[in-house]
Formats: sequence, structure tokens, C-alpha cells
Amino acid sequence: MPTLYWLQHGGCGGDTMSFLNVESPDLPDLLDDLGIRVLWHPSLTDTAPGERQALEDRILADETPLDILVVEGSVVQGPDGTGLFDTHRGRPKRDFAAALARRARYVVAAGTCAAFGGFGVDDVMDATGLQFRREAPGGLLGEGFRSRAGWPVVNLAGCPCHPEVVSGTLTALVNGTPLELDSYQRPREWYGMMVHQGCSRNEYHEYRVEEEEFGHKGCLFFHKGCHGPLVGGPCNVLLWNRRSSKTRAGVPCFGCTSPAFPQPFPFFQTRNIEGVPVDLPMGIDRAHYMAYKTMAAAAAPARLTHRRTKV
Amino acid sequence: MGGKRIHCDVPLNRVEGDLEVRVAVENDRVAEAWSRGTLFRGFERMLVDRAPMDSLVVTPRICGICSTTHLAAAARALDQVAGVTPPDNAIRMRNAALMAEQIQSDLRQSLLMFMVDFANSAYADHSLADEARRRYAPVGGQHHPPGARSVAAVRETKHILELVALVGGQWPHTSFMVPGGVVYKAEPRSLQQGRHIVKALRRWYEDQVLGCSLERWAAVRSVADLDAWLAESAAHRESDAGFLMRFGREAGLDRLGAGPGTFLSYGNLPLPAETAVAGRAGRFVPAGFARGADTGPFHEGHIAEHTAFSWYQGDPGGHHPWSGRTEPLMEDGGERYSWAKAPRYRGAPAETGPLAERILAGDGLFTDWVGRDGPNVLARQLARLTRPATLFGPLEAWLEETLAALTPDESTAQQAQRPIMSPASS
Repeated sequence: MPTLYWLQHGGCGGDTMSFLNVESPDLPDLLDDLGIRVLWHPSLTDTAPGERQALEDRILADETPLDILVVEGSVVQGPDGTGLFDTHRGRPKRDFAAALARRARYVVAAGTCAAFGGFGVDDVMDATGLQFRREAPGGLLGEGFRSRAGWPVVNLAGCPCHPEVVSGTLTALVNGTPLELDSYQRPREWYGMMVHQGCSRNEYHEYRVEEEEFGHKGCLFFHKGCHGPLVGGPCNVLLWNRRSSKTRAGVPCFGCTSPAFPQPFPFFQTRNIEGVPVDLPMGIDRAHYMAYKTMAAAAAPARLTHRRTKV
Repeated sequence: MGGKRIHCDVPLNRVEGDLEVRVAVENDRVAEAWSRGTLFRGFERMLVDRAPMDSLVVTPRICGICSTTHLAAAARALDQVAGVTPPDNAIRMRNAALMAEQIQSDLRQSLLMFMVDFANSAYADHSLADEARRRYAPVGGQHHPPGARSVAAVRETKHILELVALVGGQWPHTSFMVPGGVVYKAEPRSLQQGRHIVKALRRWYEDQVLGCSLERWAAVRSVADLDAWLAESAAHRESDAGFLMRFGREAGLDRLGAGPGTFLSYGNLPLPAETAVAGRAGRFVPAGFARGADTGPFHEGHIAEHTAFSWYQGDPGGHHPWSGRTEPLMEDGGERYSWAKAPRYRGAPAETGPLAERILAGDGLFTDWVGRDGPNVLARQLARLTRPATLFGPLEAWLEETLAALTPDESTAQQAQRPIMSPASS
């Protein structure tokens, strides 16, 4: 029976709250179907504090096997490298996370904070991800870290991580289904697609019909800082809460699956050079893109430019 | 006394494991207690030097169970800066998302994070212990199969969040509220779907959580009414609210947790200019401050955060958050023991949350109860579990009103009249 330990660090609990929303199967059925024994999860178990300490000691002594360690939230290293901004049993929680990781068959980072550091990467909180600090390999565990099954940390990026990505990853790990990881150790199954793909506003992008004012339907990429064509993620393929996505609703994608999230420059604005975005859709040539967009805008049908469409 | 003094650290970690209460026990009584935040996150510092609109992305990340509430706070601050009032439909859409999130939060907190403890072996001698385990044992627990009500709570509560996704794209962590309104252009198909979603959860809430209609519950206006309601039918007694009362009274939860005896509400859910929903001073949830049942006005200028016992630099006296500083100061020994600042109103603590809201709204049941017995854990928890009963009506009304007010080309977004400059462009 595979065991799971879910550890929360410096975060908002949003990956857990989002995971509670998982569908088909929903959470009780998922645990049951996979036969997962939850050793500890702050919101899902009834382990008393004393029991929890005994359990942790048994895991660290290799008496209780740990199959899957899930970490949520950034690993806090401040102040001055001591880790005392975030403590567990009076000691830096990061040391506990590192010790658990070395006993786990698989280590999963749920959310961008645990994967890459996210909002905690600054010079005071001094947070890091498990195996990356933003784009730089290393993090808490070091570039060469491999869990007992020989895997690097599996990074389920997103702020929060999509619940189906968590359930899909757990399913694959329990069933031994191979997961191909990208250069940031995110499973390509869910991050090998652009957030843009599946966005209901794709046709606006195609013909460069731009949203300049909120509520004025159009593509958010050219003025509103949308990262949909720039980052990988399943938001518009899986959809959120079964219904929609930020970009469909008119909220720009902020690129939260990227190790660079949050960006140091303003959200809601597209950095541009003479009207052409500085950051172009992944893998595209600037000169070709400019020629294509100029022609596309000229070819835009009136039903789009006059916003007669219902998306 | 000569009694033995024992220290015990009690983590409170069902959402966000960063609060711990250290208690000193002498002669089987808690002699002293320290409420300790065990994590420094520094959100106050994250917005410094960022563009004002970035607060719509950063602030929600404070909390994964109430991110929409933090978004609303950031959006209202920007409304104030820009000097704009959102149009009615945008107010309704903001409120709808806030209410959906709050209903989710109240139900998850009550069933998954509070009543789950009724299934704990610490209550093994309680006459309802077996039933409590069958109902509320946790979904991933080691000791018992998942409780039927815990499983139902997981299955049902997520659906109301679909409403947030329909208006804001996703839950948690959307940024759909912007200065002057929302980014969303209301579409009838989404509003209609939203209405169905609300009705479905309301049906489950009435049937299982209350065991009666919202109207029947609204007629409970005193402790005597509550007792009559409990006696009236098995459906009432078997509901989550009925079980909470029966279990809680035997466990003595109505004699625990007095708190400071003062209540504060900032007020919430601003009313649109045109609406059938009633409120006070422009809000559905009224603002106010109360000592016991003696209510009066609330002035936000009286809020201060103290750091005498928190690991922060600066003088120990309180500062309004407007002028507060967040400079961590880790020191060994000394009197500081927490990363949480101590919020105070006129220099003293005050209770916030559903019970405070009900008292300040003049609710009959909770005013009567607290007037008799003082604030207590059971009243506080019943106030939370039954807060959704106050929200379903206005939520349905605002969805209806939005639909009725839609014109073919109406946009609910209104740009700020004055531009908000970002540091990068100034």
C-alpha cells in the first residue's frame, strides 16, 4: 500500500485547497482507487501531534516506508541562511524536508513555490524550491539529488497547481506509468503545451484583435501582459473548476507555471518595442512574427473587429 | 501552589500549518498560553516598489482558502486610489465570487476542519462518539474509514467554486477584480449556469447541513427557538447543525472559549445602488464594534498592530497598518515568541468572524445566546456553519439582478478615470 506524506512550507495552502476540488475521481475515490495510505496531510489526517512525531521518527529511522513525499510551499532559508523563519519542532523545517526527501521513493513539488521558490525568493525570506531556485538548478536538495526510485523532484508547477495534474502524477507514480519530464522537471504530459492552446480567445490572437480596455473582448497578449503563448501549462485544456480559465474570463495569464514567476516587472502590461511585444510566442522568429501579424490584422474579419462573437 | 508545570505545544494546522499554541498546564489547568505564528512570509514587503496593479496578483496569494477576499481588498484599495465606484453589475459580480468562496470556506472549515475532531479518540467517552466517527472521520485518516459527512463535504463544496470560475476564470487565485470593476463581460449563459450551481448547493445545504429550509432556520431567533427547533424533528437533530449542537453541548463547548468579549466587523459586500437586497450603511454585512451585545460604530483608524512580543524591529507600541513596518528581528531569548503581529482595536483585542458579524447585524439567536452565556466555542461554530444560510438569498438575488440589468453591449468593466502610474514607467 503506497504511503504519502504531504508537507507544507512557506505557502498559502492553495495547492491543497485546489486539490480538494479534483474531479473524476474526486479526492476520496482517488485515495481509495490508488490504495494510498496518507501518513500525514494537515487537512486530511487525524494524526495527533505526539503520533506525528513518532511517525516522523519512524520514517527517518527507515522503519516506516515513505513512497511519495509531496511538498507544498517554498523552502524558507532566512534569516541569514538559518531557516528559522519557518520552524518545525523548534528546528528549521527545511532540514526536516531534506531528511524526508532522502527517504522517499518519489518527491513531488506541488506548486511553483515548492518547485522554484515562487513568491518567497527575495533577500529576506530567502526561499528556494526543492531542486531549483527560479531557473537555477540546485535548490534545497542540489542538482544531483535523486529520490530512492532514482527520480529527480517532479515539479508540478502552477500557482496553484491544477488538481488534475496532482492526481494524474500520483496515479502515474503509483501505477509505474512513465512520466517524461522537461528541462525544469515538469511532466510534459501537462506542461508540454502552451497555456494559449485551447484559449477561447485564440482567434483574436490569430488576427491581432487586441484587448486594450478590460471587458473589451480581444487577445490579452498585446497590451495586458498575457503569458498564454509564452509558458507551458494545461489551463485551457483541462480548464479550472470544470468551467473556465483566467484567459477565457479576460484575466491575463501571469505565467505562474514558469520558474521565473513572479516576474520582477509589472503584471497587466505587455513590454513592447514599437508596439510589438518584447516576449514573443515560444519558438517564433521576430521578423516573421511581425510580417505575419501585420497581414493578419489586415485580414481580420469584421465579426472579430466589431466583437460580434460571443467569446 | 507547588503544582507541576508542564509545557505543551499544540499545532493548529488544518489549513496552513503555521500557528501553534503553547500552553503551560498547572494542576490540570491551563495557567498561561502563547499563540505563536511559526512562519515569516513577509507579504507586507512583497508589494514595495511593485506596480499598484500587481497587488491584484500578489495579495490573493496570502491565503489559498480565501484568496478572493484578499483580491477584493486589493481591488477596493485601487478603487479608492483611482476615485471610482464600480458599476452595479460589477459590484454584484465581485460579491457573487466573494459569497461563493465564503460558503465554501465556512462549510470546509466546519465539516473538514472543526467537526473532524469530534471523531478523535479524545472524545471516546462521549455518548455520540461512534456516530461522530461515522460522520466526520477524516478523508485520509489512519484510524477510521472516512466519515460520510466528510466525504460529502469534499464532494459538494467544490461545486460552488465553479461560480468563481465562471465570473473570474478559476479558483483559487484569480485576479478578475480590477480598479473600477471586473474584467469580465457578463454573459447570460454563465450567469444562468451560476444560478443553477447556487441552487444545487443550496438544496444540499438545506437538506443535509441544516435539515430544514432557509426560511425555517431564519425563524430561529433565540436560544428557546433553537431548543424548539432541535426538538421539532429528527431531520433537524440529524443535520450537521443539529449534530453540532447535540455533540457540542455534551462536550461542554458552550462553556469554553470566551475570548475578549468584544466584537468587530469591518463590514463587507457593498450594496449596488439599485438592489432588492437590504443592508446597513451601504453594506450587506454591516460594520461595527460591540462590547458584549452593546453595539456601536467602527472606525478603522483605531486599528493598530503591536509587536512587543513579535519578532519585529520597531517600538512596541501599535501602529496603524498604514504606517507599520515589517522588519524581522530574530532573537534568542527575550520576550518575543511569534511571527504574527498582534492586531488591536483601541489597544485591545476583539473577536472577528461569523459570530461577530451576526452580533453586529443584530441577529436574534446569537445576541440572545451571547447575552446569556457570553461568547463560546459552540456559538462561534454554529455562527460559521449557518452563515451560508444568510448568503444564499442575496447571492441568488444578485445573479438575477445582473441578468435583468444586462444590455446587449454592456461591459461591466469601467476603467479608472485617473491612470495608475507604475514605478517602472515613472
